[in-house]
Amino acid sequence: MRAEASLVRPMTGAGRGRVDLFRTGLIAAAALVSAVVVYPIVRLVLYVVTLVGDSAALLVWRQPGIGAVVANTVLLVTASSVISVTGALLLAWCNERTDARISFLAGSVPIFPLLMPAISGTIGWTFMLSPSAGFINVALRRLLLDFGIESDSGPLSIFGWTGLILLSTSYLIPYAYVIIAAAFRNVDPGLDEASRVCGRGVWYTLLRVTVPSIFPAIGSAFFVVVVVSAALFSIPVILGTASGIEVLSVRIVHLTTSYPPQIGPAVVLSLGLMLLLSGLSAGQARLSSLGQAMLGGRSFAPKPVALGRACGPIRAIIVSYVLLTSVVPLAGVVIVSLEPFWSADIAIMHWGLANYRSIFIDDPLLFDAFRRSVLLAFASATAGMVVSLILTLFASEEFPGGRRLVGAIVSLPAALSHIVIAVGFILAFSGPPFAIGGTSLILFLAYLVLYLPQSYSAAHSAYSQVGSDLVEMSRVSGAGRLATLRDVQLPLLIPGLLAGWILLFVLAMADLTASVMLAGTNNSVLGSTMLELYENGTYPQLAALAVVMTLVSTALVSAVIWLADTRKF
Amino acid sequence: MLLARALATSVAVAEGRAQTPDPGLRKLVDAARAEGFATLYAGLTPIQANALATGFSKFYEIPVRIQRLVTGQLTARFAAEQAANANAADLVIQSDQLFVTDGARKGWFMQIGRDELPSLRAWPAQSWVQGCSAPVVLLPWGFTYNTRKLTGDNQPSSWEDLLKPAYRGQIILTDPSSTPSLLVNIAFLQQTFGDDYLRDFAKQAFTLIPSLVPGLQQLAAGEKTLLVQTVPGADAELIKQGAPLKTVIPGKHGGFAQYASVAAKAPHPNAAKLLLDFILSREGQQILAKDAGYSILGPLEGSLPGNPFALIDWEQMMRDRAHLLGLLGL
Repeated sequence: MRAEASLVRPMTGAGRGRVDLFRTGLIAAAALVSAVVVYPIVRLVLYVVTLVGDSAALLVWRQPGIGAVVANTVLLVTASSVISVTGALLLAWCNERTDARISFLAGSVPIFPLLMPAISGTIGWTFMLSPSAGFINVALRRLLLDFGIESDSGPLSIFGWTGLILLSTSYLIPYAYVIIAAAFRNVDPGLDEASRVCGRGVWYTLLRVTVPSIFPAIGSAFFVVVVVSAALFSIPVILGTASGIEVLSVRIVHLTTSYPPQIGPAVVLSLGLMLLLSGLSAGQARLSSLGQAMLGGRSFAPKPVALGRACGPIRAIIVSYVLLTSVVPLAGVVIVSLEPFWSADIAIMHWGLANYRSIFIDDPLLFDAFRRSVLLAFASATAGMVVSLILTLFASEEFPGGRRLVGAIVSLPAALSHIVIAVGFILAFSGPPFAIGGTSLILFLAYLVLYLPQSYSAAHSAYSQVGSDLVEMSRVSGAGRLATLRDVQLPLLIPGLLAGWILLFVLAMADLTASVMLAGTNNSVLGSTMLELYENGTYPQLAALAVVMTLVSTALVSAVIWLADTRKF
Repeated sequence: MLLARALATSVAVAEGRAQTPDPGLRKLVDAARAEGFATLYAGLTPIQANALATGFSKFYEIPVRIQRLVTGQLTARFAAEQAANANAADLVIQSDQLFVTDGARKGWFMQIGRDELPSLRAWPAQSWVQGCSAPVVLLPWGFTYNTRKLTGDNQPSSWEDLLKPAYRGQIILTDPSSTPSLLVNIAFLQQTFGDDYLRDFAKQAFTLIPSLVPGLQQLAAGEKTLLVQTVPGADAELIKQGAPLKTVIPGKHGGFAQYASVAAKAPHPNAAKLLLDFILSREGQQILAKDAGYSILGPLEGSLPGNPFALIDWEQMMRDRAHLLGLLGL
């Protein structure tokens, strides 16, 4: 009796008060975040209702070609999601569990495609693989000419379904990789090792043991990439438009950016997407509740799986992925940034820094946009992960019955086009009583809301890896709720949270569609400026801006990764 | 006394219109300078917008901050700001004629009496629309081709030439579904050449692009050989840098107007009115029309020769929108 009693600290009145305060704080924070998410959408729906009333649904089906738009979207989302999750799984497994890991690349592999904004990466690929003027095609045609094959176009093209799916996939892989790689790092590989000891081969172990052990993380990753791909705008607007392939995100943006804006059909289309994604979110939550490999109380150092003769080719594939997703398009924008205009004939004698000078010296507003983007990205990424952890704790510990509600709320921003969210923000926050239109605060809140699905998914996945036994042991030992969170859970959550933070930072810095609507003369950011340069300016200036953004993102993300390594999280 | 007067005169000359004897304008100039700057929302080409801002700044020493967007995005942003009572624009220049009517009806644009501004007094009364907007430049539609890819007899000179089989798959078309002013040229072609012309044009397997500036970039690179629906002067900067481009405005052509309106809730209303006055003056009109279009005031130094085109009936055009886009297969 006495021994048992000594293990459990009696709950005093003061202890009860602290627990209540923590719970109250969680509830209040969750309610506030939910209000910030829901309020703009409510204002948007009310706006639609006042405009078109009950005929909104009918207006949707009268949209020209809406059937093809929906079909194109389903095809693009399905194909790119499946391929990207599969690719991310294999890439993460190679980097985290095999001897094919390339140490100096492993930590950065998923980050490379994120460092270059999607719009500039797409432009970079356009420079490289446009049928007639693309640099790679020009080089290939010269090579083919040596074999007597003459052509004035091709042989490759970035346009069409192949280019659209592959480029979208390359941008989706990092989203899935971050989650799956974190799962590989945190899951005990004991089962894998046992399988191999029992004589099972590498690939059997991968498919029948490893993958099932991280299935919830794969589910989370799939959900995230579906959400992101459904809202992807910059790649479809450039490649899709040129190829005659229209998807929902582009249609919704056109509906909202034309005048008069057709907000009603845009919101109805978005609400339909939202319902679908809410269903997926519920499925993801169910997946997380299934049995999965958990973090135990012991540390482990997984022995890399030896791939034998396959190691070399697999490393070549990993390096190719890095080259194709980052180095090649970066080369395209670097070349064009140095030219007076995009030309198929690379004339080094005409290269110069005039485009960089015109951006950062001739146009001081651009530096202001650049500085503002970096600060907003830092602030919104930090706040996003904190908020997501609060929501995760709220849904998992304080109000488990509300998990679906929380899942539905966090999936709301993903289902609506960023443009529609931005319109909702203008209606909700620009005017009275908040009156924060044209300020950095409205952008901060918009980024927080827009990327909440990704941050919540990362936080939720990280949280799912931490077993409840550790929490129980801490509480039994007498630690309060806050102390348990601070001293036991957080150190284990930090790798996953940091991974999510990196993702949010690059997303916020490169945000495009919401920035176009919310950024103005007095609060311009890089995303809106880049779109302006694309649609109204010149490719060389856009390319120069893309290069600088990539360099800054690389420097900042590398600093965070280095910091995480030195602190030995 | 005489010296002081001479000095004052030379200062007046140096300051140009800023020292106009018009007391109303002088008061407006002082009030505008006190406001600090003007924010211009412009659907103009970069060359026109920058030249306008530079010209105004030189006259009055009041800087202009330019927010450039394609007209569709510009009007959507402005409308959303009005709905949220968060207007940031002082003056709006855009090409959507229906937006002018809509904006006037909704009270988004400042009603300005023709006696309030010197340039407005001289402005043709029929061109002061709804008491709040003016067509400040008329821009004709044409096409641009790559002179390195198309040489000699292969170079097009008329709209009919665009149907040549040799151009199949080589045409970029600025997307007429994205902005009403881009649909204007389609309507003009349909009215001039009939439905069959557009059906035949659709068979040319053109590539769509949202606006003409990136289209010019692709043309300069040699990705395609023709860009259909461009305006004069948009390629000037590229040509100056060595791009092999040439713009053609066929003898028969349509076009559109850019309309200027002062925002009713302009943060800097006096600077906005002064900027409007400048735009409507001969100096401002010369800047906007230079190598690009026509002025309501008639032929000016640097404006395009000949008479401007007739403006199309926009309301009829919008009623025919689905039919026109359908002829193109859009």
